[in-house]
Amino acid sequence: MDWQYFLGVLHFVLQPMSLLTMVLSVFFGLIVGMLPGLTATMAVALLTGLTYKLSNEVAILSLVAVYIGAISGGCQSAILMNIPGTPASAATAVDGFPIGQRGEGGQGIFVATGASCVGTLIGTLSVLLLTPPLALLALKFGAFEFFLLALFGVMICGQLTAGTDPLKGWISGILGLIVSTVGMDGMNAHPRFTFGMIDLMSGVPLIPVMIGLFGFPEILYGLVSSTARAQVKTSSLEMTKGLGILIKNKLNMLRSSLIGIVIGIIPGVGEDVAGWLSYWAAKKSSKTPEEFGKGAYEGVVAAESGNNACIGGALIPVLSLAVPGSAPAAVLLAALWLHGLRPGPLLMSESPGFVIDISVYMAISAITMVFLALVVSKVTVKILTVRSTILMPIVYVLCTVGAFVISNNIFDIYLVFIFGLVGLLLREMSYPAAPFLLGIILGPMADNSLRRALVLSSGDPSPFFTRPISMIFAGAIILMALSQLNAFGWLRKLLVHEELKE
Amino acid sequence: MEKQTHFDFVTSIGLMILSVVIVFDSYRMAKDVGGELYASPGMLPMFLGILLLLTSVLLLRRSIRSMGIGNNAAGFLSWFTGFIKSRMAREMALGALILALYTFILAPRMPFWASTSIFLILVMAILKATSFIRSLLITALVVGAIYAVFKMIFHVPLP
Repeated sequence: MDWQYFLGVLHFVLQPMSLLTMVLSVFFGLIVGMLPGLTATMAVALLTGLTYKLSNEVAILSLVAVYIGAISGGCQSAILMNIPGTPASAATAVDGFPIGQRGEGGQGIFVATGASCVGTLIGTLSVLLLTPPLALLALKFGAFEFFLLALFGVMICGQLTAGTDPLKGWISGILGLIVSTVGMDGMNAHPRFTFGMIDLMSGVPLIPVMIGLFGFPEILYGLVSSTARAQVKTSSLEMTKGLGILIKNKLNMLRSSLIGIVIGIIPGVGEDVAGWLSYWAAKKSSKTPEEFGKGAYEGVVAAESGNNACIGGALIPVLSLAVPGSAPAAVLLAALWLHGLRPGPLLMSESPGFVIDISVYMAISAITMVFLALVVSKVTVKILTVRSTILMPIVYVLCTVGAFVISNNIFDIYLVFIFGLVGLLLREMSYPAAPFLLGIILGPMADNSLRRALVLSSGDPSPFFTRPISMIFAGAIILMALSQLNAFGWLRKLLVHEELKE
Repeated sequence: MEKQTHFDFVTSIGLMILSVVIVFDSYRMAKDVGGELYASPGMLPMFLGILLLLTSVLLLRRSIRSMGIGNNAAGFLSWFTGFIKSRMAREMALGALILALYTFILAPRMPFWASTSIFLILVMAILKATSFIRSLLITALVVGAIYAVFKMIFHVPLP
């Protein structure tokens, strides 16, 4: 590392004006990330316009800070209301909400924020150290690998969110993938399942669906007196206990962060998938997997460190190839162009200190985020003490505003209601909603990659099973499917038989 | 558990019908566009339709093995008739109706401040959430805060 660059950027960040800008940006990111429907992408996009007149350094610092704040802020509404503020926090809600319901909302937010900070710091290290070699690996992903990655992501998500019934998780994921095909297709501009409706031509937007699936059932149950939740008492935060949980989960955080970084490097996948995959890996390697879904801190730590480490991972292809690793990173890339910077292979020679600048911005923003999130959480945990018949109508208004402001289309509000009913049905029938959402996220990638791959191979599907990286994904998918069909029953019987003989 | 098996029986039949419709529609898409099937817009939907069909057959097989066709059909009917007469079903319908009123009638036809004020005051009055004066204060605060942040600071249009 060039210490001259490092000290220079540290000196810049610690100047009062830079510090103030960073604190305000992280705070803004936390608030936007917390509000259902307002994503990290939107936070970066909204701030890009406001930073236009600032100097390049201050503007980039501000945008990196808001990105980090927004990804972490989503955990607060996930833990307190079971409504992920951003898609990245969807995995956090699985265990975070039961923690909030147990009266440990403050503790949950502290642990989630601490894990987010650690994840971001590990992601920062990856930006510094892994940019050249990992960018090379990401280049090896072709259409075959991207399609299988999408399928694998949906299957994993279905497997881990459906408890003892992966079949229902997979069905939910397949339904999400089907919904993602609605609208004009990218290659032939042919309308699919639009029923002649103009509003469906551009497809089903992600944010209204996410708000509907997760927010609507909570709101409806909150309004209905016979099912309304009792007011939850929130415990005071025990810092030592929270730190103890984080220290106990150090390996979990490291593993999740590494997963987050790798997912971040793969273009277009993003923080939401990183959160789910980290959660899955934590569940698989846990000594108490049965506790997952019932308020396990391990799950929250994994999801939050994974999705925040993904920020670093997503910035690696931005800096080295000018290819964004996630949606917010794409907006950040546009903002870098707006400020006259040219990320890509030439960045290293044109602005040799820029990678160090970004890394320092990330590290200091992550540390600032912990303190700010704790201050903000003192107010947000009080949300649980408000009567649900007052709170839920307000949340619904925020949800509709969040859905509307993305594209200023009233149809998006209708979608919140319609997919809300779908979410209600899924919940009543014991289908997890998360794979449905992930299906919609990964659907466009699956569609384009499948067809591009088959066009490249003239319709021959064999490369899906013969290319090295594809082979790994295909093998994992087949094993998962076979395990559901009880194909390994004979193996289990054989092992039990051998054990009895011994 | 028994109730879930009845649900699985009914939903698997619904999903099978849906998957068949998707497969046929995907085939129609491929015919409309022409060219090779693997490059057509119907390729992924057809693949997903087949996957949905296979998984719903597995679900149906599991529910029939567990309780049989007759027991499942009778069990679901008896649950359904009980549910539509229950207090919870009435309250859920009322809640959904209030949200639908805001979504489909108030929000598209009125300015944001008017539709949201009517919605919030109405909901809090129907659900007897708080006193009328407090509901007025809460409404003014919420509408004002949203308006200030979105409209005045970020110049974002509201519904």
